[in-house]
Amino acid sequence: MWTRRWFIILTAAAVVTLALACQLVGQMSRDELQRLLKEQVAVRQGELPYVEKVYMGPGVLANSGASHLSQRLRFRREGPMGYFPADMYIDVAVLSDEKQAYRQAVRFAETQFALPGTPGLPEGTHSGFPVGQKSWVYGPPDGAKPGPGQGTSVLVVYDGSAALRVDIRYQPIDPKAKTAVFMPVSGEDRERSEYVARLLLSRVQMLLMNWDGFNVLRIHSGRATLPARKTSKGLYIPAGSALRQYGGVVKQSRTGVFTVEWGGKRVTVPVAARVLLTGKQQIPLSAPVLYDGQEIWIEAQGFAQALGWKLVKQGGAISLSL
Amino acid sequence: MPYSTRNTPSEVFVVLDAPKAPMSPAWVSLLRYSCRWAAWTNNLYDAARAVTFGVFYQRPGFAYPEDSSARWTTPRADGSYTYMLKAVISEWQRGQWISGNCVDVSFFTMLASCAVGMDFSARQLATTSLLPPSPQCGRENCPNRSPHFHTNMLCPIGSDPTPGDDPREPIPPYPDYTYRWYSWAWHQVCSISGAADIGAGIWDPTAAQKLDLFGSSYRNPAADHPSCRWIQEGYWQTPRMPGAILGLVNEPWQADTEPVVVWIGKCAVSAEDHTPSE
Repeated sequence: MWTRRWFIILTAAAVVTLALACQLVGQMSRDELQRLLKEQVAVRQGELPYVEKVYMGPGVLANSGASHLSQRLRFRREGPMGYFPADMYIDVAVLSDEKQAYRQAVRFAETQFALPGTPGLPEGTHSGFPVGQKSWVYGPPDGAKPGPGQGTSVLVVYDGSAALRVDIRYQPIDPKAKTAVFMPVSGEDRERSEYVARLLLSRVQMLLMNWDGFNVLRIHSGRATLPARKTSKGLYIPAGSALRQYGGVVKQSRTGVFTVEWGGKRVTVPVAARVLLTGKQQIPLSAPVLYDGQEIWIEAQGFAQALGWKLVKQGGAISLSL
Repeated sequence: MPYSTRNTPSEVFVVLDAPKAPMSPAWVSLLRYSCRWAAWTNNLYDAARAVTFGVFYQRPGFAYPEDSSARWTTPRADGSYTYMLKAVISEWQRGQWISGNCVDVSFFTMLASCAVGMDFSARQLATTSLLPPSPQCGRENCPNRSPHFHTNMLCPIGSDPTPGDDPREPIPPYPDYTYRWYSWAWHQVCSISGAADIGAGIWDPTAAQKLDLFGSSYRNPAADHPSCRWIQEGYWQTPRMPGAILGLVNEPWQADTEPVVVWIGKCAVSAEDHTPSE
């Protein structure tokens, strides 16, 4: 009887929260959303140590009607004739629904390799770990030599109502030569672009789900109480803090993929993915992994399942236990 | 051509005709390029060829990327395109090279032609006769996992198409190391607005062709001109046979009805630029 009553109350609360969130996004004008993308999602000057200068706009979506964020991050690379400039171009689009976002992502991934209207890049990521609901990637093959046409890499991601493209573009080794010869984009820069894609997609998701507007719940984990977020997409817990309560270890790679180790178990946590990986097994999540720059937030049920923990709800209290 | 004197410091541009949409009124920053490229020409064919060559040989300018992705334009939901013209010109003025595929460079050529009064459009050409995805296409080192065609040897924009010496090659005569074949599924070029699907003249700044359609040395981007015709059907494949040696498509053999024109139109233009973040 009590269980049923609690179920009804929690369901009603979730519906109200969802409705409020939808209303918030629906009410947000394109200009307002564009402003928030610049304020809350964009890479800031000084945020990435290797970036010398951050530029805004215009991006290929200028005048398209979509809310979008376009940035260019300037940095330097060393070639056989000294340093040359390199850029990371970022295009983030927020569309009205998932279908539109997918279409925009396909447009981002169009090339001359495949007919217009279809993605011309192979599916995947630079690291091989998933991001978003689908992603497409191009990078120079291993062992590529400097030459014409080299010097670019592309990563396109789609998730929910967001589509994102992150390019690396090098300047040629000798800008005055008759033939522009480029260094192949380095593995390090491809990793950097994937990190930026994961970080920004995570920030977009947090913006769209009104992260700061959701209730902060307290959940019990070990001897501590942790802040959790009850969102329209599920209950998020701060995974790093929760793990440390039980002596676990969290490691971060350069591509924004975390590795969690606890009790002999090893779980791969790709930021902005909707899946956790334990060896070859995939554990689907109802909501993407989020990263706020300090803490990784994972949907609680999936996180508990990956580590073999228990998520217990008793009355109004939620606890995470071994 | 641009014109000014000490007593008239303002720039005067002498053009073929009134600027055409979407470059009406024409941008001064673009006119500086198109008028320089087409200087001393006084008819459409000379001027259009000069502009096409000008885009191809611009240094620093466009360089065709290995990923074959568009960088300065994207198709929109309503089927139209917006071109980041201001951003492209700004990059060149800063001495930067930029990546651009056939969509980027053909739209730029279209805009530069429209600015000097030539009514040009872009058109996307495709074919129903495609090869199966690699490795079924039968060509070694073909990276394309989608249905595609193989081009003849092309020198992409950003590279030098003149007779090439490759000092890495041990034995002369050195091959033209800037020429290579591509595996594409479609291609975008320029044509005169209103030209029929069949028989249209083609201006293609994306890549230089080693041979013209008579098999003579050409080593320039295809640009239709009475002295050297590049009509759509011949430009696409000449002769119509397997492993054709002239035109864009090397294989597969193309039917008489090809290429198929899948899109013709102009792009909108964006006057926004990248600005330093606050």
